[in-house]
Amino acid sequence: MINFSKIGPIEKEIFAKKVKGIKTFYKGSGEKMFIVSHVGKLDQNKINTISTLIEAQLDFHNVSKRTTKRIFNIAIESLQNSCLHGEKEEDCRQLLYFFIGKNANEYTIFSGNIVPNQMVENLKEHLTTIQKDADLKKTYLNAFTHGELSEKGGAGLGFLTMKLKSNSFNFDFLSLNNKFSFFSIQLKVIE
Amino acid sequence: MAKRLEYQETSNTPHILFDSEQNKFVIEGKSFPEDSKEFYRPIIEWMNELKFLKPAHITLDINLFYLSSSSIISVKQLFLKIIELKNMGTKVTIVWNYDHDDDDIKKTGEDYQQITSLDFVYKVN
Repeated sequence: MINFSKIGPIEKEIFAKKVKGIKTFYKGSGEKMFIVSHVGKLDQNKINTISTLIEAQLDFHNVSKRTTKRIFNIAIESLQNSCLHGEKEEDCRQLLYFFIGKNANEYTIFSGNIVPNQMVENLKEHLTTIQKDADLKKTYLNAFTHGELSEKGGAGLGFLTMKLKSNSFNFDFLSLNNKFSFFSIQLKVIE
Repeated sequence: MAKRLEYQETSNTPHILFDSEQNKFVIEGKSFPEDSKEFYRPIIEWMNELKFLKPAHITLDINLFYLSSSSIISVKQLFLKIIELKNMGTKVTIVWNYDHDDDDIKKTGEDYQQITSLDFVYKVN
């Protein structure tokens, strides 16, 4: 029987591999480390706690205010996107991660959550367009001028903002089963 | 309408103080509420009702450390109400405060100025 669960054993294994892959890169000595790590259910209270932790960690590592705000911006947009659009099980469990890794003066924000398969094509197209956009500021201003808040509270500016604030922007979709995929995005900010 | 509207600052919402008697209008802090539409709705409604008092002038002092993308749209809706006041004859000034090393927040102010054509004064904290 095909398992259509969001958190069945196959989905858990795919998720665990993804998380392990990120963690492995930041293991070991030197300047590579995780400065923020969250796995599992997310709500606004947790986002508030994580946001305080991000500021404290970046302050501890003497990151400039400009870079701090860029990282903060991307982090909040990622977290709120995951919270708003990330699929949850009925008991509120969630296959979701959020990490900030530091490698010398490079900060990478990793975010991943489950999305329904019917969202994948549109999201992929939207993100590919943003990735290739040669005049992103103009696109942003257009969305800013004409943008309205959706029923779910999205503004249509989130990914545009994240791209504008980052030095690199990559995403991926992994098929979990016939109903769901795992969406991950990673953005780099260089001090 | 109430003459005064005040929300205390929280970890994800700004301090709001709108006082028509003292002619004091302030938004300061961080803005990333869970539901931006819900958070800003009473503030926008309050501003909408201000036009019935026909104030001669208002100065809105904005000092935001961070605005989420949904807050950016909600603050734009607030500015649209302020444009209505201006069109009715109120002299409007927006004081946009930013940290000296924070170009991004300054640019957000410039984006608002560009689409609203309101008078912005930029002040470094």
